[in-house]
Amino acid sequence: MVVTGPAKKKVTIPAAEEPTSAPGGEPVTTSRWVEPADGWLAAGILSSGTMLLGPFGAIVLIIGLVKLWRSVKAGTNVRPWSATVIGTFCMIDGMINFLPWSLDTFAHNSVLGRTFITGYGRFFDGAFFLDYNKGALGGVANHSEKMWQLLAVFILMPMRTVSAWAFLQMRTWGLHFMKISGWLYLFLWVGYTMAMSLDFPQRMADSEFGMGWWLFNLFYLSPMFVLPYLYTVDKSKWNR
Amino acid sequence: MHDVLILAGMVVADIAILAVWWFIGSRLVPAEQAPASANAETEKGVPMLHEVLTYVCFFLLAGLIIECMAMFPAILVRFGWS
Repeated sequence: MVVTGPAKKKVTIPAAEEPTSAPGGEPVTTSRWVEPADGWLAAGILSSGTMLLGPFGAIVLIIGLVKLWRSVKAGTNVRPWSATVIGTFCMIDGMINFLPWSLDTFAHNSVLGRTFITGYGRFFDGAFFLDYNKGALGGVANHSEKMWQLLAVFILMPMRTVSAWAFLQMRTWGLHFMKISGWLYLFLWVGYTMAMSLDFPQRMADSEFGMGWWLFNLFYLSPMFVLPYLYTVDKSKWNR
Repeated sequence: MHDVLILAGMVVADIAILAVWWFIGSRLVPAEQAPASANAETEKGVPMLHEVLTYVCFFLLAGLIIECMAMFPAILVRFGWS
């Protein structure tokens, strides 16, 4: 018995009608980014946010920021400079938390992952070095760290990263998600600070510099600075 | 009596925490439902707040960029590949 499936139908989807001119007759130019230099900004944030490509990514990021600053000085910018600074800060912060923790979650057996994570542990936080790869899930063995890590890798940090980019692109949902992820970040900060403080003798005292607690607190405080901005900014500008 | 004092203290603390969140929540209007008049707040000293926050976040951003640039090279120089 030969079974033949239904003949494939060729479906032609008409192209979306796009306005070619504004009501006044002026041609409409559609741009991929809000600002022409946003490509530099995205490439710089994503590459330096990996931490592994940091030295190269930082150069691209600085070029992007300089271009955007010149645009502000020339008065040709669409996005406020404050939104550029705050969005960039939040996105790079999300990336540098997302990717290194992903290395520990998914790639703790790779040379690159082990080198970076245990090196960070020896410098700043002993939990990332002591008994490494000896826990049930591999990677960091400290239970509280592992719990925060999974929350960060699967929920908060990817959410923070995409919402910061949508915020930079002046999307309505970007502003909304920045607020949600800001509150979640506050939640993480309180819990993580408590975990770090309770395990201080094992984590900080065994690290080379012993200043990891201060280092992470400086940047994890970001919701304190960002939430007041998000709730007082002119919401009508985030309309894409 | 000892337990009563502890439990009463707990209730007071819980009420205080709830009150703080009521205070915060009642002053934060979601963007999607904000009336047009909500933007009038931008004229009440908010530009100064934004300027300060922009400076703070710019310095934090500079710190993050330095961290991104230095971390992995420092690990490789100090400890080598693991």
